Amino acid sequence: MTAGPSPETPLLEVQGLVKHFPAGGGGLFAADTGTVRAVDGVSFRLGRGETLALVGESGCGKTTLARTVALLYAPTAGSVRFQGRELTGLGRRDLKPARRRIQMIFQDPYSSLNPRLPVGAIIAEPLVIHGLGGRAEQRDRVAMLARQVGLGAADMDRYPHQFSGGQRQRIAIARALAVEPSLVIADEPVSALDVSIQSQVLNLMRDLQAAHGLTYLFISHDLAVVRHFADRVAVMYLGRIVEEAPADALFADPRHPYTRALIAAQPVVGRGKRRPGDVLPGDIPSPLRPPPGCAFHPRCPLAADICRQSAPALEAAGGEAGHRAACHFKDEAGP
Amino acid sequence: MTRFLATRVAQSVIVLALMSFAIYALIGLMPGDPIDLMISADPKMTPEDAARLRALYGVDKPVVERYANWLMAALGGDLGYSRLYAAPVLDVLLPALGNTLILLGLTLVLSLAIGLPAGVVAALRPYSRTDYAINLFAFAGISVPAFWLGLLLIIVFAVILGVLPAGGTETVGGAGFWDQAKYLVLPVVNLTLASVGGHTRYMRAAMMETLRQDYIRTARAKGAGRARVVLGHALRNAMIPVVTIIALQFGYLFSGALITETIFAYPGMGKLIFDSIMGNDFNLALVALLFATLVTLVGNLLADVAYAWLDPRIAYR
Amino acid sequence: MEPARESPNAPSDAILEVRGLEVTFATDRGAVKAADGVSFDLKPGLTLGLVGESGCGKTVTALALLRLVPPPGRITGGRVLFGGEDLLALSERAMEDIRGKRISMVFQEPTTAFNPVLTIGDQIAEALIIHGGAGRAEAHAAAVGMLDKVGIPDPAERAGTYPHQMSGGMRQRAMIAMALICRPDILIADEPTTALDVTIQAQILDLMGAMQREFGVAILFISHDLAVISEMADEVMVMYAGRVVERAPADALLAHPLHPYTQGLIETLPRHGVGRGRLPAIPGTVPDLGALPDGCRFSDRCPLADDGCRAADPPLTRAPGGRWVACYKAAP
Repeated sequence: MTAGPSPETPLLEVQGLVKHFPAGGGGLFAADTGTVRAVDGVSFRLGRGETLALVGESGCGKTTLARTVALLYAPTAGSVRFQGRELTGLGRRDLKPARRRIQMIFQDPYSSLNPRLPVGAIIAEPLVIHGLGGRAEQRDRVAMLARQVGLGAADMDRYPHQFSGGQRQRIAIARALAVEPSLVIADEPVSALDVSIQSQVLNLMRDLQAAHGLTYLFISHDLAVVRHFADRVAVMYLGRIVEEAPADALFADPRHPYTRALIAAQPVVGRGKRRPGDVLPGDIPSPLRPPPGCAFHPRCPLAADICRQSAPALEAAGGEAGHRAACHFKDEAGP
Repeated sequence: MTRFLATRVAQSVIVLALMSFAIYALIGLMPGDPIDLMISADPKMTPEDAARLRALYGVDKPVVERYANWLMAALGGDLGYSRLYAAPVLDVLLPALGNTLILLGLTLVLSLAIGLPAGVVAALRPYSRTDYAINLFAFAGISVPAFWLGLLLIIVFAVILGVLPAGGTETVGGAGFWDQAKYLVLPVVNLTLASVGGHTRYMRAAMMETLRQDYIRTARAKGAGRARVVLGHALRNAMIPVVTIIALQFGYLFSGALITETIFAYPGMGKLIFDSIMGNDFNLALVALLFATLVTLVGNLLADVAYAWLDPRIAYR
Repeated sequence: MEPARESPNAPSDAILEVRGLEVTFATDRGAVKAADGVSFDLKPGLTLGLVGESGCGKTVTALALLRLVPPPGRITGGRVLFGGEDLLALSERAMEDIRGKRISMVFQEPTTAFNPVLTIGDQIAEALIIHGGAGRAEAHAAAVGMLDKVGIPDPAERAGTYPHQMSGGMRQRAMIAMALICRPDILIADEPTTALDVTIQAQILDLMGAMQREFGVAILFISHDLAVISEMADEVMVMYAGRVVERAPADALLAHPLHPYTQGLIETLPRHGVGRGRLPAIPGTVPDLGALPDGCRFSDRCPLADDGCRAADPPLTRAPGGRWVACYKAAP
């Protein structure tokens, strides 16, 4: 690596990222039924050591965005700069160094671990793929990683099905860390886990972040987890970021009506029995046919004519630095 | 649905065209050509005569050109002349096709009428005595070779008991429908026994899988009794995979018919194809194989229609 | 355990009394009790929240009430008293008259819980046809009316659609319509919103509340999510490894949990006010029913456990304020 990136360069910079999928699977006789606009123009920056959470409901594109950033999908348009280097348009060979520095953790730690390999081999696999170290070195590194995520030496010869969900997620984390990534993309890493196990894994991820200087892109639908875990939060709706802010600012002063609705809809312990309240009406629209103008307008309590006609840009909102919202009424008082 | 059907018909035509070329080319690979047969029948023929005849009949041309010539003639309705039967191919083929369709149709109806209920009953009480008995019966049917079973049937019913004819389609100087029906019994029983075990097993597996589904629990939670759960909720869902398998088996049944028809001297397509290939009757073999392909394709098409009728989730565009 | 010991309510007060319910599963490693001595009451028009982690026995308990435990599971003990009768002693035929008519159920996955080849309207109407002896047209009209009540737009048209043509939220509304069409006394809801997005979950929770007020149905609300339970339940029951460990009025339980497991569950929840940084965690893993610790089943993860806890399983005993807790160390 020659002239390293300057300290001001963010670790990851995503500009106008678009990822569309053809609907209906294609095929010789299949009719062209349109395009799923899974990610439809997303821009954000992620600084070193930071945790950015992507939140939103199903179909909002958070998983597609994560996988596109992780280089698992080729973007339809836009730019992904990692450590100051443009990644889009690079070939397989040129991407390999970046692939090593960007690792991913998935929601279901069972289906993402090869059931026929012992855990030691699973954790060592990225080292083998990237040709790092000799056999002995790799074995030492696996043992160290296992210790760091709270697994024993005896566990290395066992198979994934012999572990609980929480332990499997620890294995997946150890595998991700094996090749010393800078950016870890975690897609709903605790959603499949029991409540009492969730906090163990979140604590582990936080400890590892401190120990290794990791940067997290953390995808979740659970606002309580996000509020606790993230430095910054980006709320997505139908393929776009509708609001982005430091976590405290977002929860204290949400500027987008969708963010407000999400926060209000999240059940909270200690609020007492539910009273019928302002619940967001309607269903999440299909990303196949997003509504015109602001995609949120059919469900929005504030929607006016302008919302049906033009899509609002993501612009500075609220008082806090780095707080942006995409709403024509972002500066009006909250409820 | 109309559009879907049109697409599937178009696909079938393409498959048929490709198959016709493949079969044509494969038959061309067989050792010997019609002229060789003429030579063997006429020892006085010289190599020069043979070459002249080859040029005359176009046998010396490349396979693609010969195929194109055959195709043009076939599309014009001329499917050629059977050397073996000394008659136009269609005149030989159509009666045989009719015979085979009667045999296969009866077998399919009988096999489904026995196999599907047996599979359902077995699935309702898995690992019970009834289930074991049905499974034993099914595996016996699957494992016993059809030719051996056919011979056994002939020995028992035609030779020892003498109640049914051993082969053919009708008594010489035939006596109508009942006489012909008697000749069908043993071949149909033979083929049914060979295929009913499979149908039973497929139905049992599909039914057991269906009965594990969440919506079966929902139906029971609604207060639906056993009969309503099975007939009203499970059966139609369980039939969806079974229909596919039956359709795919259609071609397999066709080849099973070959053995059965040979054993019972039943003049059907299987026997015709066998005889035409053994007798180097190229024209007949080619068209007969094509008809076999066509029947299988039609079977699959019918299965797709049945599929759409059973499962509303399949959106045919 | 003698079920008679715990009868906190006068019989007239409860619509369903469950006593010492026991469900056993035959496994390769021997018999495992998925529900072990579960006792509780349901009161008319109120909601009992049942919370616990995977394998705690909450779903099995729900299915046992309707005698729908799938093999190799079997109900091996206890009583389920409903209208003076023990449901566990009824014939299967008599039980069919209870299911869907007096006690009905809403399931977690609205995607798989509907029969994919039948229309929504037919599936809702079916309950009426089974129980009411209603004619097809009559039942269908009632189904459309019920779809309207649960907030499905164009109910007449929607009744003719198939489940896959509806969104998850709409399907769950239809599921609720199906469960309530015979006006049951009890509704068992097993994780009814777990598969849904949070804004849709809010809609369904509101709908369930509205339906309870309209029909006066008693609800057994099962969830792994304590926050959802806290917003829905009048009373909360916590299960751990097949046992009820705590049962109390919702406000009291959430404000002052008595059992260390309940305390842990509440503390580990990330929520406002807890600073960023490490969360309190319950150590260890959710127990395997085939390899439970001796004595109290929570003893291997419990910060308070001593030799007494590891020697004998604490029974569910009465605490002040209409509460029940199964812990030697619970300070009243």
